[in-house]
Order: sequence, then C-alpha cells, then structure tokens
Amino acid sequence: MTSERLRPSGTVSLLLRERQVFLALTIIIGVLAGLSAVLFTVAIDAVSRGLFGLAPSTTRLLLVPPVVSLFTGVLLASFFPNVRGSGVPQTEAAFQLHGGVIPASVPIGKFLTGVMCIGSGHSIGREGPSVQIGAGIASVIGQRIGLSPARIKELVPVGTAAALAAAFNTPVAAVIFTLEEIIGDMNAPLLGSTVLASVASVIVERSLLGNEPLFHVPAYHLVHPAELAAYAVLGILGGLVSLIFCRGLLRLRKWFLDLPAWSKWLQPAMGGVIIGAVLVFVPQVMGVGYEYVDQALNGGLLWKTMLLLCAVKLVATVTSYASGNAGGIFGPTLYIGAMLGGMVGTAVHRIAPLQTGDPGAYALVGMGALFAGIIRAPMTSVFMIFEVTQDYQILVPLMVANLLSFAIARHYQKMPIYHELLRQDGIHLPSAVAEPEAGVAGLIEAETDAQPA
Amino acid sequence: MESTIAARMTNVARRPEQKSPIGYELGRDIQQVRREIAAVLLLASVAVVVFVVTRELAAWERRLGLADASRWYSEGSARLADGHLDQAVAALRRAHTKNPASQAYAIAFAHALSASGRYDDATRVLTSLREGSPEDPQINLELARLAAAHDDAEDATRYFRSALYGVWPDGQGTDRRAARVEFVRFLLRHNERTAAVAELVALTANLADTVAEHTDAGRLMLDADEPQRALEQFRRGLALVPADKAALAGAGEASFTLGDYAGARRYLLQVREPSPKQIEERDLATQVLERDPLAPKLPFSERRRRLIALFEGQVTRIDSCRTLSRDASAAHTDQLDSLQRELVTIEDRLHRGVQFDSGEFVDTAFASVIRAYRATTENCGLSATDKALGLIGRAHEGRV
Repeated sequence: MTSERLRPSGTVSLLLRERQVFLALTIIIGVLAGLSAVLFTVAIDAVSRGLFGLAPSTTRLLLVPPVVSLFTGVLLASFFPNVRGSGVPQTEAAFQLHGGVIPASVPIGKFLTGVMCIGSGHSIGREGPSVQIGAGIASVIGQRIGLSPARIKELVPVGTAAALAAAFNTPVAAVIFTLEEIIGDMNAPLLGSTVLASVASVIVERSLLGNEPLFHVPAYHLVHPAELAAYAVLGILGGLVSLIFCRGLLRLRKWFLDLPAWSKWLQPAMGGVIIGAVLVFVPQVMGVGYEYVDQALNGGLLWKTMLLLCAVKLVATVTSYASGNAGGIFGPTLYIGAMLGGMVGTAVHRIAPLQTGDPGAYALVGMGALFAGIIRAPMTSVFMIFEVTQDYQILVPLMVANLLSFAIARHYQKMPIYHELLRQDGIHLPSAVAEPEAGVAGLIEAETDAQPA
Repeated sequence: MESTIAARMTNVARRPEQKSPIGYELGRDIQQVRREIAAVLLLASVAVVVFVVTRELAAWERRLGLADASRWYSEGSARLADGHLDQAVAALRRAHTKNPASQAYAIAFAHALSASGRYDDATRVLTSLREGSPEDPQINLELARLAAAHDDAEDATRYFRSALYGVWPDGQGTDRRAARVEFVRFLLRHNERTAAVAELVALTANLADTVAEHTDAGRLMLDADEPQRALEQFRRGLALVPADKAALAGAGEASFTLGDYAGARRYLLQVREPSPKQIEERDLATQVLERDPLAPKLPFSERRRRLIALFEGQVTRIDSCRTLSRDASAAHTDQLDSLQRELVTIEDRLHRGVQFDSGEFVDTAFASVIRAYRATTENCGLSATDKALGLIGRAHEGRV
C-alpha cells in the first residue's frame, strides 16, 4: 500500500473504520463480560447446591468451608496470587498503575477460586470478582489482538461496567461505579463506551436470567417529613457500622498478612474454620445471602434476627475476606446495610407508627448508607438503590442517610477501603492520598480537588 | 492506535516527498485495522458460542432451582398441614424465593404466614403478587380471605369485589360462583344483609342447574332473611331431585318462616332422618295446623272446640303463672286476675254457644287468648305449648 493511495478521504475512512472496530469491540466485550458474570453466578449456585444440598447438615456446614478453602488456599498461594479478595482494588490498580494490563491467569483464577470460595459458604460477594473477571477478559482481548496500550487501558473500565451491570442488574449504577471508583473521574471521556458495554451486558444477562429483579422491593413513600430525622439517624449509624467494618477488616487482614509467608496457603482455611462454626449457628450469613436481604426489604424478619444477622454477617465477612478468600465486600455491605436499616425501621415504626413507613424502606436506605460508608461511592449507591426501586421518592431520604454515613466514615477513616487494602499490599494509587477533614465544606473541597487537571 | 494514525497522516501531509516509509507504516496500520476487524468477527463468533453454552447452563440451573422450589413447597405444605407453622413458613418462604413467579407458592406462603399470626407479612406477600397482576381473581380472593379472617371488612369487600369482577380461568363460572358464595357468607357474618341479598340475586341468576347449587343458594337466602326467594331456590332443586333431603329441609324451613305451616309440614314430613330442629319445626307446624281456631274453612264445631281448648289452656296457664310468681307486684297479680276473669266469662259464653256464629265474637275471643298468652309469656316465660300459640297469633296479627 503506498502513500498515493492515502488521499484525505481514505485516511478519514481509516480513522472511522478504526473507531467502528473499537465500538464493535466494546459491545462484544460487554457481551462477553456479561456472559462471564452470568456464568459466575450460575457456577456459584451449582457449587453451593452440590456442596450443601437442599438442607445442609451440621457436619457439612462445619466442614465444607475449611476443606474447600484448603484447596483454594493452595490455588491462591501457588497459581493465582493476584486474585485474593474482592478484585475491585486490583482492577483499579491495573487501570491506574499498569496501563490496564491484566494477565490472562487473573480472570481464569478469579473465576475458579471465586466460585469455590463463595459456593463453599464464605460470607463474601460475587460482584467484586465479577468486576475483576470482566476487566480481565477485556484487557486480555485487547492485548491478544494487539491494541495500543491506550486502547487496552480504555477497555478495563468497559469490562468492569459490563460485568457489574450483569452481576447486579443495574446498568446505570455500574457505569457510575466505574467512573467513580475505577477511573476516579465522573467526566471521563470513556463514558460512551462504558454505557454501551453496560447496556449490552444487561441485555445479555436479562435474556439469560429473565427480568426478575435482584430484590423485590415494596412501594416506598415518605409518610411524614419528620421521618427524615429517622433516616438521618440511620445514616449516622450506617457511618459508624461502616467504620467498624472497615477497621475490623483492615486490622484482621493486617494480622493475617503478618503471619509467616509459608502459611499463606493455609490462611483461607483458617478463615474457613471460623466460617464453618458460624454457619452451624447462623446459616443465614452463608454466601451472598441476598435471599435474606429480600426478606429484610419486605419486613419478613424480626428486629432481633436482623440485629443478629447484622453483627454476624459483619464478623463473617471480615473473617472470610481478611483470611484471603476470593470474594468481594460489595454484596455483604448491602446485606449488613439492609439488616441495620430494617432494625432502625422497626424501632422507629414502633415508636411512631403513624409517622413512619414500613421497615423495608429503611432496609433499602440502609443498604445505600452502608455502601456509601464502606465503598465510599455515594453516587453509585444513590443510583443503585434508585435503579433497584425505580422509585423517585426514595432519593431524598437516601441522600440524607448516604451523606451522613459517607461523612462520618470519611472523617474517621481518611482513606477508602479499597485504597487501604491496596496499601496493605504495598500498592499506592496516585489518588490514594489522605482526604481532607470531613464536613460538608470539606466534602465539597475534596470532590473539587479530586478532579484531574 | 487512533492517535498513531492521526500523527502519521499529519506527517504525510507535511512531507509529501517522503512517501515510501510512512506509506509503509500506514499500510501496516491498515493491516492492523483489518486484523482487528477479523478479531472482532472471531470474538463475535466466540460470543455467540459462549452465549449458547451459558444459556443452556442457566436453563439447567433454573430447572434445578425450580425443582428445589417444588421440594420446599411440598415440605412446607406438609409442615403446614401438621401444624408446624415456623417450619412451614421457612420452607414455603424458600419455595417462594426460589420461584417468585409461582402464584401457588406465594399463596401457600401467605397462608402459612397468616396461620402463624403474621397477617401483615401475609398481606405484603399477596399485595406484592397483586402488583404484577392487579386483576387476577385468585390473588384478590386470597387477599379478601386474609382480610376477612382478620375482620378487615373494608379491604375484604374491596378484594372480594375485585375478585368477582376479574376474569376467571374456568369458562363455566364455577370459581366465580364459589367466590361470590364466600363473599355472601362474609357479608352475612358482618350483618351486611342488603349487600348480601344483592350478591345473592346476582348469584341465583347465574347458577348451574344442579340441586346442590340451588340448595346452597336457598340456604344463603334463608340466612339473609329472604325466605320467599329461598323457597323458590329449594323448589327448583326439588324439581330436579324431588327426594333431595337438603332441598326438602330447606323448603320446609322456608315455608315455616313464611308462615306456610301446611307446606312446612308437607316438606318436613318427607325428610328422612330429620335433625332436632326440623323435628321441632315439623311438630310446631302440626300443632299450628291442628290448633288454629281462625284457620279458613273450618267447620263450626271444630272452630268452637279449638277456641275452647285455647281458653282452657290459658286459664290453666294463668293459674300456674300466678303460683310461680307469688312475689310479683300487686299490679301484675291484678292484671292476671282480670285476664282470667275475662277468659272465664268468654269461655262460659263459648260453652253456651252465645253469639258464636258472629265473626266479630270469634276475633274478640281469640284476641283475649293472645292477650293472656302475652301476659303470661312476659311474666313467666315461654312454655313449650305456647310456641304454637305464638305462631298462630303471629299468623293472624292483623285480626287481633
């Protein structure tokens, strides 16, 4: 091919063609990431059914988590060292520090170990691993077909958004999460491709699993303006529980990290022993546990049960995650939030039944509040709950609770949990600096500072 | 890659004389784009294959989930039947969670919740189900039953009506009729007689022509104090099966309520193995027929005999009443004495046959008997033999 043939019209056509190819690639990655998330969910359910059966015996509850974790511990220590934990911080690090390059072993290892850890009853979520798998698939495809480094990096958020959209069935929240957490820039030029991939992924997910929502949410309405005060209390409690969760997780993880290096393969099983003992008494905290979130949302749990589940799920998640099992905190965060919110809702409904709504509405807002406090992605939490409920009226109480939870968590824990987890592994993200003092002014200032030049 | 191509294009524009190396690089870029197109096509094919495989796996998993739901449903239903409510709730909740689209599971779950006293939770489950199909008659009926069981008359009425106006799956209207019967029973329990009759009229207009349906409708009409309409339904039933026990008993009861004692006795005599109530009504009807002095077409002697028998009976009754109420007030004793004197006087005239051919005298004499009956009943209670006299008095109310 000679330069004579490259008339202006030809070069424009080449550029256009390249963009079209990238667009098509974005859609295909969206589809593949969505499929991977669906497969991941199906595989977890299948493994869980195979290991526990319909009504698990005490022996199974006690033995399955440590025995399976012994096997996954070997895999995680010897073959897939980069797939412990959630996957969101690793993806963030890959995007921010490694030009979006993720080795092929990561999505494969994450899939295998994630399925085994979550399927064997560990109290961890599937969304984080889905994100790492989706981002990994996108990155590997980019590398294999010889895309430029810039394009490979661009594909990571595309895979992330697609996987999260399919895992949680919330396409808009998935895009916001990707911009807020992975890219760290709400005005990123990648918005178009992440939206496209997210939509493609959700279409695939719904065509395979149906339009059934993840949670069956009751109709919400603010009964009395004074009810906002109760939501504010929920926000404050959400912030405090978020702090307990984050500090507990970081301390226990630090303890595990400080153990001798040879014990790495054994650590997930150590967590498994504790989880097995917990499951014997409180099997409701097993795995993802969205079934019980649904019950809390629909007022199907007593406040004492919710208190117990809130506390035990927190302990179980911290243990499962800190001991190095492969699974996320996204789902458990929602679980703990739902229980906390349901508890607060039941209490205020007893005190002022005519001025307050159903406890289910509080459970819903509690989910958002914990998400804002622990994950520190307040916009994502608002959009996620909005997408789940499709109810505009939930926004005001949700924002009140989220803001308070976020502010409290941020005041007492300067760095977000994902960044802290990376820092424990010796990885320092460019944006992972201590944040300014909390308070509304502080928050606004921090948000302004966070924008890249 | 886009930026690389753009940079090379700029170079081409600036240095047109150096075509060959840059042209070579551009050619490589074009080849790269072609490779990417091929890769995209290959990936698209892979995506299709993975999609098909995932779809099969998801369907398999879904089938397993549905099988689990079915097992939990069986388990929960068995526990509900055994009365182990907590276990039933737990099992049926799992069935409902695993297959939320199943109406049967949701309804069973709501039943279990309701049985364990969790009315609000049960309502929530059904209301949530109703949101998806607000006109579904079965869901509305279940909600109505739930509200009715908890005496929430307003909601129950609303849901019953929604159920009745819904489109029932069976073309014969059997389920709708059953729902209407349930609604009528609910209305009668809550003393909503007018509404119940309105529903009953609608019910009888659409009854299947079977003795059971006519009898049931007649029974409800009786409960709604509509003996004439009830009798009509029982007669329709008897036209189909003349010896039907329930229809005969119902017709007898309706006739008795209407004051048609001849009809009542005729129907009740045909009832095999009658209940104590039917025996009582049959005997009362017989007594009324045998003791009524104002019955039409009676021979003179028989009318006189009946009147004398009633007078004798009431004189004796006043005696026993006076003995029973020795501590009664002077006014009461005076009233009884006065009545007894009046009865004795008229009885004496009756024995003597004075003015007995006069209809006015017969009415006056009977009125005295009824006054004595009311006075003794008021002061000394109702005796077994007085029941028939009361019915006779009621039958001729306009004349006395």
